[in-house]
Amino acid sequence: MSKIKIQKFDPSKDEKPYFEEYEFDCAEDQTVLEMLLKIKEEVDPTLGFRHSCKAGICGSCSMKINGRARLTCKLMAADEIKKFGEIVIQPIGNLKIEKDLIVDMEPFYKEMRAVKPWFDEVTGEKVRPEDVKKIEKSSECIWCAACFSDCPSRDASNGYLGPAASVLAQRYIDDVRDNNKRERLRNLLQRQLWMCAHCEKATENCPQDIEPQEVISKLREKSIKEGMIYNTGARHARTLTGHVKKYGEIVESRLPLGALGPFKVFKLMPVLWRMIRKWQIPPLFIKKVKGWKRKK
Amino acid sequence: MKYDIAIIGGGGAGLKAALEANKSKDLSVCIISKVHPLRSQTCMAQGGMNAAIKGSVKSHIEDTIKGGDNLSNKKAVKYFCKEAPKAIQELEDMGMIFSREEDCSVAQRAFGGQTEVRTCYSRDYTGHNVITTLFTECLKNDIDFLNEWYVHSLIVEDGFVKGLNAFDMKSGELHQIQAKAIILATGGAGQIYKNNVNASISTGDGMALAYRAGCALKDIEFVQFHPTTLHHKALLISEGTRGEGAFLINKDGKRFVDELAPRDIVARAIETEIEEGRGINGAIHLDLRHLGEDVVLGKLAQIHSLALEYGGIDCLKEPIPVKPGAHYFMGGVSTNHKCETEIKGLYACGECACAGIHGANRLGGNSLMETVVFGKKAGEMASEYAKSKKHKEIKHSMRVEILAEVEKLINKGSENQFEIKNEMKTEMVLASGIFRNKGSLTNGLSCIKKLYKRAQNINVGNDSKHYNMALYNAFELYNMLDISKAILLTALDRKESRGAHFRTDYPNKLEPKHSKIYYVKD
Repeated sequence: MSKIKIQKFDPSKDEKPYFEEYEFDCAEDQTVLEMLLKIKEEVDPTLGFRHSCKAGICGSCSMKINGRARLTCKLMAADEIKKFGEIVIQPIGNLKIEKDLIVDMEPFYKEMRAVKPWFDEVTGEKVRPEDVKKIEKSSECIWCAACFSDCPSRDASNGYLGPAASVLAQRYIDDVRDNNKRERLRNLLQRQLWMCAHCEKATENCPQDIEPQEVISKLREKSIKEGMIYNTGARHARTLTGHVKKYGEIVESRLPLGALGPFKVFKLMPVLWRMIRKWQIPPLFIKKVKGWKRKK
Repeated sequence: MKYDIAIIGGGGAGLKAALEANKSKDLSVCIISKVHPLRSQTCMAQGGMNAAIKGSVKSHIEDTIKGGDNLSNKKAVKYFCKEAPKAIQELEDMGMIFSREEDCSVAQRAFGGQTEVRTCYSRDYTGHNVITTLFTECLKNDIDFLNEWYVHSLIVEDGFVKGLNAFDMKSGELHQIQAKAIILATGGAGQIYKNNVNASISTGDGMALAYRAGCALKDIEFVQFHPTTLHHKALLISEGTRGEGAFLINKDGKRFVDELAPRDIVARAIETEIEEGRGINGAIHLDLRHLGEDVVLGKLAQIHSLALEYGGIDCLKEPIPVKPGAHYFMGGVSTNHKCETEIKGLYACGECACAGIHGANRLGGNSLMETVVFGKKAGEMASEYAKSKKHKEIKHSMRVEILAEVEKLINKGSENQFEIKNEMKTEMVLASGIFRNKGSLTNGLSCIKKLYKRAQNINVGNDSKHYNMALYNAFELYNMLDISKAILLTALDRKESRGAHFRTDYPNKLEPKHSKIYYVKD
């Protein structure tokens, strides 16, 4: 018998979510979703969760399993028990809980819609097999929100679209038939494309093995190539590479000026004052790193 | 609430119908679905969709009729095959990602029972790409969605459909929606079989709604068993594998059937091998090894990962154990080739409908195409109808009766609905699986009748208003019982073997003049 802890919450009865424990015997090849269905059928018919295809392609059943957002129909229960000794099931994060393991997906869908996933203007170009290769991985996204759930950048800022929507945007930006590339990139930058902190969580969580972080890096590169450099993210990146080229290392004291520009940097004055008071100042004078030429 | 056109179901057929109906800007259209549209069954289709974009439409027609064992409605088949190439172009215009040939045309692969290569595909993610394309196009067109609403019943008075009753699953509230026209696009009822490969939402809701409202179900005895589903897990392994050249192999390492014969023949051949002891641990091997890494990882990527994740099998190195599983309903709500049912204002399209294109057996790749071709037709017909009609006054809303039924399910009764459901699923496999006979069917019928009685006494064990899934599961169970009964009744009536319907006590086909189409009414 294994211990299964499920987070429950009924808005009409409970003030806040709580954990309910179940003892459950799980078979060797049982998925976490099959286990949940069995618990609902045999033990607790009040349990609320979404599911549909049971084959990893509809994107309904994402939940947090032992702290990580996963697609439960693709996850073997026995493996989780071997790793953690128990299974703790919670609703996915960054979204409001509606009931037990069901969350309000609307904010996520809204971001997916915000990248305008359709053609407004087409190029009339023919699609070659190699053109399909550039977008077919991104098109595998099943809108399960497993990436969105654990994204710290989204947690920090609702202005950030999140990983899935960025991937969806790339699917259109790299589609040879679409004629709105620059507008799409501009839209992405406005929605804080540079917020992504490269934490790898989205890539780890994605049940379709899409690598949102890689996709986002390429989108950033593309935006710089398109000359969209007058934003904090691009300035920051360009200052960093500039420093490495010039001095062989990153010069922290000059970073704010480079990243924010001569006007916005004044907003940081209070920070500077606090730093001076605590005598936490990075070196102001810069020597080139030894072996700078080799490094370069 | 009031809409000109209400569409029940947000899969391929429902979305396409909405896009078409929405073209008349003065009509209000909404899609009502018990799940978010992207979670619909359509996303599970893998192999592709048939359209004669290069070959001849005539041979597509002939293949479809021959595959359907000469029971198809010829008019409907003709319309279907003629429209198919246009549908591919429309999807392409909306941004669908098809796999491509070197000359930039849409790539096509071979599929069972077809004399020409005409299955357009998008690797083995064709259904997924169809539904995302249609859904995002609906977003572009600002179509209204009522997601996670469960439709309880249609309101039909004086031979006209006037609206429907539906629960908002989130709040548990019962709403009446008035509509001039209603389109059913709810998909199949695979869940009545234990060994099915369908999504858990495929519970025959639309068929049962129409059946209870007085429509006939047609060809409902023909249930397609897909030849290759992953052993133990009942997960679909696409016909695309065999289209690309995979072999079916028995215990002795021998091939025993033409892998690209129509599905009914292949499924029966596999079942016979297993029953006669030539299987391997109750399954048959599907061998992809000789296809090479490029084909498997390039064109069948999803199959590779499904077999690996669910069966622990690397199909590049070892064969996949497969057996047949319930897959598709050739039958459904009886319609003509214009998607019209017997009730005025009520249309049906997709798997839940039966215009008769599949006859007694469907060809792989025809159903995904059916959703878009007939989805469009249904949308067109419904908008034409709605333009010329006014909303009709509803005399009796049934609200009181429905609320009493809910009250009973929550507070009275003692039966566990899931026990009834599981018994039904097991019984239906025994009674009306790949092989049937009088004995099995009559046994099944008496068992279903008993389950009906027990189902009147269900207690859902859940009194919550918010997302009371158990309550909607109980409604679904009622739908599935209705469809089960209909299947058993017509399967008993059809005293011959044709297409997917094989009677061991009547193994031969009747002469065409004696074979007829069976309708069943509530």
